[in-house]
Amino acid sequence: MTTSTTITRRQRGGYLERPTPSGLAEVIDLILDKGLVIDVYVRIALVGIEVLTIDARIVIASVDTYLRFAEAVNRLDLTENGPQGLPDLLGRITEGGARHKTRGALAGVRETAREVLGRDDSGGNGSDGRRARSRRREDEDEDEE
Amino acid sequence: MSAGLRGSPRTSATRRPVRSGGRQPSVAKLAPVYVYGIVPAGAPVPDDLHGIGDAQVHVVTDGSVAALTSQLPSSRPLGMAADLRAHARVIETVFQSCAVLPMRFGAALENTDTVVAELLERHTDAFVGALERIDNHEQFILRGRYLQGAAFAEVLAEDPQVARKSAWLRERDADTHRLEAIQLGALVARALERKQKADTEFMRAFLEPHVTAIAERDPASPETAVDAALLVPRPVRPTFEQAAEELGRRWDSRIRLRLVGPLPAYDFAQTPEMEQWAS
Repeated sequence: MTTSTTITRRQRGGYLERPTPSGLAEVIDLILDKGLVIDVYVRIALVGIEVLTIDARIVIASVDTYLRFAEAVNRLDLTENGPQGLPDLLGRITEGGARHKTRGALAGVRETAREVLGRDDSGGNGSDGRRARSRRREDEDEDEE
Repeated sequence: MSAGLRGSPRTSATRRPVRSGGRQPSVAKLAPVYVYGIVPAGAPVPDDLHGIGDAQVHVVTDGSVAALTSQLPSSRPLGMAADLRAHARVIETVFQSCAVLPMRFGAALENTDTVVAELLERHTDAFVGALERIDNHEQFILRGRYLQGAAFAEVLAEDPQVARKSAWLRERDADTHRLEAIQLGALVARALERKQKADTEFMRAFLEPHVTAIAERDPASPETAVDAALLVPRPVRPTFEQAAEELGRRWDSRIRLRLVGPLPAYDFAQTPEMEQWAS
């Protein structure tokens, strides 16, 4: 079974990442957010199956994100001699403290997907679904907001 | 079981997707039919193709269109990674040899008769039209992310307001000027958004000659440079991939490009009916 999509290959000149294969993490937003919505096509015959899925829409631009941007730009300003050494600095900002701070705001479907996959691959079940969420309106009450 | 799986304990065990009324059938007493997608009648589907819960995939045909279906094994909630994989795998398998209109995950009807009467019979023309549009096409997803240092440096160089505010903040204590820092961050986010628009336009113009359609997607984050689904005719694929590679080369110093596919045409499955409904 395909486990993750961290393997990427850079082809030919190497200017384009091509995930191999296109695993679930790559296409989970397609499955959940795209495609035909059956409700549009049928009148009364829908079956009310319960769908436990993560919400594929992504909340962006929170205060934490803004603070992170400001921090990044300000640090950039300090290093007067251009972009040398910057990736390191910025890397630290994003990989370090800011990452978990902004997670609630920036956590996207792909990241969540990886968690789903991780759990699945470790053979867990039952309480694994704790973070899985329905696509329904009720989500808005949940604490991720 | 389902209550324990949810974040919110007050939700009931059985919920339905959007409903506009009507009676509520009891899930436990039914053997619902899960629908993966719509294909032309006579589509080659392997006999040993299995879907959600390892149930065998059946083709339900009506006239010139057909649905890929399987029995839902139980009333357990769907949505575990294995379910999502099964859904994607069924569509992907059939897509190798013919056009498929993928359904969004979680489509189920009462029984096979309903699939024919409610879905296929009533919408034959719409499905035939949509299947023709995507026939012999593959979908690719192109995502680009700004290299952090590069994008912020561009914003700082291009936006005098950002530069001014940043210089002002730099000389002051960050903790006592949080509001200003938030304002600066918002300015940066807006500048990135403008950048995003310009880069998306550039990508469109660059790849348009090789694609039948482009569907822009909502950017996942302010650091997203481009995010689009592209519908590419099968024979054009090598040329398209070359063009995407060339775009990656041009953007190499500022954007990391990623191309996913070929995929079934999830982003291009809509029929005019659905678009009407969405608006």
